[in-house]
Amino acid sequence: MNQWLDERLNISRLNDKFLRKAFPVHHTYFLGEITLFSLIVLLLTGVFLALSYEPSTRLVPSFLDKTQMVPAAYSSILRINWMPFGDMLRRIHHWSANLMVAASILHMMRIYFTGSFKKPRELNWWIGMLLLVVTIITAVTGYSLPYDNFAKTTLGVVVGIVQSVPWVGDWLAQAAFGGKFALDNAYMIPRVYGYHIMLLPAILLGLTGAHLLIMIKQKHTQPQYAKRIAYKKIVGVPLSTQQTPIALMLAFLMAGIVILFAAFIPVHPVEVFGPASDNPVANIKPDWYLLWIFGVLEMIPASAKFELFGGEIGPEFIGGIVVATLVLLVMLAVPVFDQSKENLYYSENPTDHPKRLAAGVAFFALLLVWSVAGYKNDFQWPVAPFWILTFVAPAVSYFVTIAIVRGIKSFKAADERDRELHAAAADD
Amino acid sequence: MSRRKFINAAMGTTVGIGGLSLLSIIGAVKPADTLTPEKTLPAPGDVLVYADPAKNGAPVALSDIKEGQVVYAFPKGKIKGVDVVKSGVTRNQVIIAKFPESALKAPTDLKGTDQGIVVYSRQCMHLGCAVEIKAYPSKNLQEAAVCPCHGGVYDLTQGARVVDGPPPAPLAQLPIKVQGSQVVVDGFFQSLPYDITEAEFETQKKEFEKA
Repeated sequence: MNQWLDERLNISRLNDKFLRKAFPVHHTYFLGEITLFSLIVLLLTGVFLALSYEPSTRLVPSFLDKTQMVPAAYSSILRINWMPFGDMLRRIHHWSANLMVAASILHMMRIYFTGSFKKPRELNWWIGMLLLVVTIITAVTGYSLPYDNFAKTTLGVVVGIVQSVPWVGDWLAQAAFGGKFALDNAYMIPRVYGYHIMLLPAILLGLTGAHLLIMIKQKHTQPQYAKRIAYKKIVGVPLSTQQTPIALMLAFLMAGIVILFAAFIPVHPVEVFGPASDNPVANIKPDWYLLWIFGVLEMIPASAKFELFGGEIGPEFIGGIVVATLVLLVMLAVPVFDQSKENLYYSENPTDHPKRLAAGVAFFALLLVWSVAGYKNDFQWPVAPFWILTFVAPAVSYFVTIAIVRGIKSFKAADERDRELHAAAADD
Repeated sequence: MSRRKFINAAMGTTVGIGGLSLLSIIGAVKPADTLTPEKTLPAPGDVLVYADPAKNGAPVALSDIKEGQVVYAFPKGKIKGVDVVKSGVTRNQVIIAKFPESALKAPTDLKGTDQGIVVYSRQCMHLGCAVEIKAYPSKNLQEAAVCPCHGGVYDLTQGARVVDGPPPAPLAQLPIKVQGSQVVVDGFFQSLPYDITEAEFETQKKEFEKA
């Protein structure tokens, strides 16, 4: 059969050119793969969910209680829950989404801390950032679809944030969500559904393809040990066949863990929130990866508003869009700070670049402070400590990181001296 | 004209015209904004009815409005001769609260209160979540409107002034008066409620004043 295919498709050339490519093996190099596998699991489970989901706000008798009128989207979720393994399907989808975001953030941290964004890989850093943003938007549109009260509140806040854009916000929100936000807006859920299952996944797949092709073209960064084995040569195992079983094992192990989680830990139980209504949801919080924006929205005071050329700039725009955009710009700017002309071959040791390491730690400390601020409301904490921490926490973590790195270095140097001393003593 | 120039010009024209024609789909993305009777503003003469679906749209009983216990309601009024409960938008759900008359202070519109009963839109001015009524000890409030979304806190005794959190404006007060055993709307929202522009607000007001 190989020969039959080869004569028609020239498989052996593909094999020589792509499938035999060697990729390095290192335990931190699998994070991107996990992201990709989560995406595959999401696409597979998503297709099955789409087969049974009804994207509509039209009121229908509830699937469980025919006397109650609920939105059709909500009712169809109840029906999916009732289907054999239907609830499992939803949970696997939801857990994989969490895993995809988590793995991509860890993947990004690995790239950042090892300096792998440096020339020639800046393009892939930027594509990766876009992937992260699109992944998060896809996740948010996803948990808006059940149209339970939690989803409806989330959607209301998202529409509100879009609306808060000065000058064009109203038009933008109405164009994106099919008119003004209302419980019975017939366009809204089909819009979000369209984004979630077509537009955003198409963008995700396109960007993922580009991300992978660029990675193959530019070659993966090599681990430090490769330097010792064969300097400036590619050290690794070929994609086909040696890397394939490793990847498959990883994929199935990941799927197994996700399914275990899904089996025992429910996510987004729609019955708890009830169908979309005008009632508030107590202690509502977004998913963990958006908690920092939520915290910022709580921190920006009511007085942060002004008019600019006839446009209203308010706390919701500053908290929901301006701060998030600034954070994203800082992340996008990372490769710009590096001015090296040389191409990078090897993943760098994070402690060899204490300033970069410390800046990264400070960045995540800031996001952590903002995420904790998301709980301000629940405990009626005052806002002032969070504003102080916004500046103090990153500064402290920056200098502490640098101090720790220096400490480790001086210990190492002392060790080295000791060893030399002993070696010299033994020579005598 | 050289062949290269001709092809470039031809390509530019087709890309331009084709691209522009594709822009026309943007015209379709924003549906027309239709104002259904359920989404109109509360207007003078509307009776406040229970928001609780179990109460089937019965007018709020005065005996239910007590200090320390709020009632959520929708305005019910006649639009073109037909009775309509205006529950189509979140901003129309209102909080009916009662305080000792001496406790109500400016900037509350005191003329819009009656027997210490004061009414506000329930929709938070920050990002439009429905607010909850609960004690807020850190600001010494027994009964505050607290938004579960981003922690906006409003003081209901002072015109729903923002005392904590990010909302850019106070909750909109709806003037009312007590007529017999019913609470009746006695004017329009005293400030812009959530998600309505000044122009829309004024147009609707004029529409009602004409009728």
